[in-house]
Amino acid sequence: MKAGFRQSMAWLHTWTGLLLGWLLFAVFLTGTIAYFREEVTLWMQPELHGSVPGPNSAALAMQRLADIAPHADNWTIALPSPRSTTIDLLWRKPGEEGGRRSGERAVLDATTGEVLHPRETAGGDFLYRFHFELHGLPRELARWIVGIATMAMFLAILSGVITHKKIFKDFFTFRPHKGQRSWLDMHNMTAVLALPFHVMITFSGLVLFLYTLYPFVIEAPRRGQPPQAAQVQPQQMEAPPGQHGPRMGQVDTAPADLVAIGPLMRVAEERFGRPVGRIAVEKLQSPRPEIVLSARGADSLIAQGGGGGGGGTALRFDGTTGALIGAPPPRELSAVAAVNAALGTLHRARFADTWLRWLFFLSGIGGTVMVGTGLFLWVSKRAAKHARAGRTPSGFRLVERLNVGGVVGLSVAIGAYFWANRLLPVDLTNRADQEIRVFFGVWALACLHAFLRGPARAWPEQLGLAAILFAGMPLLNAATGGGDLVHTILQGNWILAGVDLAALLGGLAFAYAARATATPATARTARPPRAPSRPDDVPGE
Amino acid sequence: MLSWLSLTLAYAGFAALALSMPRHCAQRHPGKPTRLSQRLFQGLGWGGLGLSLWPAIAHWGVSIGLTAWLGLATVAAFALGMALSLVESVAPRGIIALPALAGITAACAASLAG
Amino acid sequence: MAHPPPEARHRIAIAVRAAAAILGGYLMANLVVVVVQRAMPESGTDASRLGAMLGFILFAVVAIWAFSARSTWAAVTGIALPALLLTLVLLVLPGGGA
Repeated sequence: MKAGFRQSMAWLHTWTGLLLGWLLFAVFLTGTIAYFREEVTLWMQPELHGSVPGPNSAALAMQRLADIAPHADNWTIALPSPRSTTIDLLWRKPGEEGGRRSGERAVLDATTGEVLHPRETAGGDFLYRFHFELHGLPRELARWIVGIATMAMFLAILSGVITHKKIFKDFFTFRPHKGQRSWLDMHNMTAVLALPFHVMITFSGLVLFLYTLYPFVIEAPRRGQPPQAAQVQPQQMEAPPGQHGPRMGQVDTAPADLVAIGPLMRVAEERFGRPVGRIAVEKLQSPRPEIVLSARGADSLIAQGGGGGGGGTALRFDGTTGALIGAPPPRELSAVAAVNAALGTLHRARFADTWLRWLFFLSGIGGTVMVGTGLFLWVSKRAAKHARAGRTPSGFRLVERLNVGGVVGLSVAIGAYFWANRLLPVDLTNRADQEIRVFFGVWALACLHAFLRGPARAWPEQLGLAAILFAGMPLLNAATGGGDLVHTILQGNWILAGVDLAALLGGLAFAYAARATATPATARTARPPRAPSRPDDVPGE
Repeated sequence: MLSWLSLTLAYAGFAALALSMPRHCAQRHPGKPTRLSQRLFQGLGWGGLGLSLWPAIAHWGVSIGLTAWLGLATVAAFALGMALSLVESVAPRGIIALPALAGITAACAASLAG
Repeated sequence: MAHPPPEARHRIAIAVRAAAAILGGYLMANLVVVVVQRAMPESGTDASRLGAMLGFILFAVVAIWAFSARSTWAAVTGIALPALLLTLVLLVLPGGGA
């Protein structure tokens, strides 16, 4: 019975993994890149690369908004952060509904306050949206598809752990250049070492799809406004010194009737113990405008609620006197709500500082590699058997080719997407859509190529192309008006340098893989080996 | 700096754990590990891993610190796995210990300095 | 592979088990949500969330059962009986009777 149970779990692991493997690979890869979606979007808008955060960003932004949008009802300012070097402005006219797409926007150079005109791009947001809503499908349908894949992932993880209990003893083992055994080692290592991440990301993914997946028993809330920041009972506080007096300094001067923002920022940062990330000015057309300062990041997993957005720590000030009129009440969450909030927060990593963001990214890469190597394993395990039998079933050949298109082809398509961002004319109409079209066009071509050339040749060729596309990104960036790698490193602009360096490293990894698959030793995974591999080394199956 | 300290402590912990495993111990020196050394390395390994939790929590607070620690441990273990596979093929054996030693020294020096 | 030929019988068995896993699992997950909602009527969203999380886990358990049970018969009844039981619980709980 014990052996029977393990065997049936191996079967479940194999087939749930294979059937939804390509989709899961795409979800993992694009979702992993989406941890850096703001950084990627910045990279994709070279017009913004010259902006360097200065000390007076807040005052500068307030001053510029008074010029640009004096008749607005409310302003929102996103200050430069470790993820962004620009000041992003949003304002809405009186009576305008709040929502993701409403209002008018502008991007400012953080030092000069000059309005910048970035190119239209689908940016990192496309990869982010794709990872849970795909593209071009009805929203709910796409969510169902990804939701089903997520459940398959959950099952594959559970059955994988049950099947391969002994991998926990051997998880440091990676034997390179050994064909199938190398794939297996890498599959085990990325699975076991990042297991907490895999379980978290999969289960929280399901929970985030809760309203999609239980339409019959759970009523979805209406899609409404983002949560309002700190709407609480007034709590008269002693006004911090300095903001009633006359205007202070040249840049620190508040426009119109608003109080200077500088002292409020200092009060808020002292209270938060962390920088202010966002400024909102509300009721601008009333005699009592209010200023809400929100902290950047969070110090606990439940501080932001599950929904992300602006629900974090915030302080509300009277806009004319600078008096503190409200602080958010301490969050009181039930245990269930806390778990729910923590899962949502973990999945999105909105709280993450640069360190954590890289840890999430690396774990995501681990998950991507796990799914990819799992797909190769399916092929390489069967290759020997079919070689002995002297025939290759058409299903096997299909999987072999889809593996190339689904794994390397997608990587090539993402590379091409970045190149399209720089090479398409800047004033192209519907430019963002054209970028996305290049992405899907290249992906389709890569799949076609895999079928025309056969896996043995398609592997190294596509890996080589992916290597060139990714390793070439720093050069492309420098050649098409972006901040070049030498300068960004010297300036300490690690957002842009980080994207360039990550692309370069990715390119080198693809180059290594291209060389490995081009040599006969590992081409065995694509072409059946002469000698049967030793079955005792392969757990499961 | 605390995050580096956590990372290198986790790395050192995993390295000790690897040395307590017969397969990886053989990479270090031929022959089976003695019972005593196995216990010793196991203790050191779990000790190191446990210790690496402290700087993570000190730096990030409890809930985020635990999350970060899991991520750091993943990255540390993966780096060690790669280092071990290098040891098998090309590099001299001492290389496993180098990142841990360098990291811990640097982190300690920096935390003492400021 | 775990299940040797005869091919056709094998395929039918797999199809039945897959159907039991998917349909039975989904039914059970939904039932659990409603049971939790009924059991914690004052908790509103929390009950739905808790139920949903339990439902996901239960779906996985059902799927694992469906593919690991010794016989196809056992796989199906092992899902149908607990589902029936959950339905009964639902009828007994206050606010039920639907």
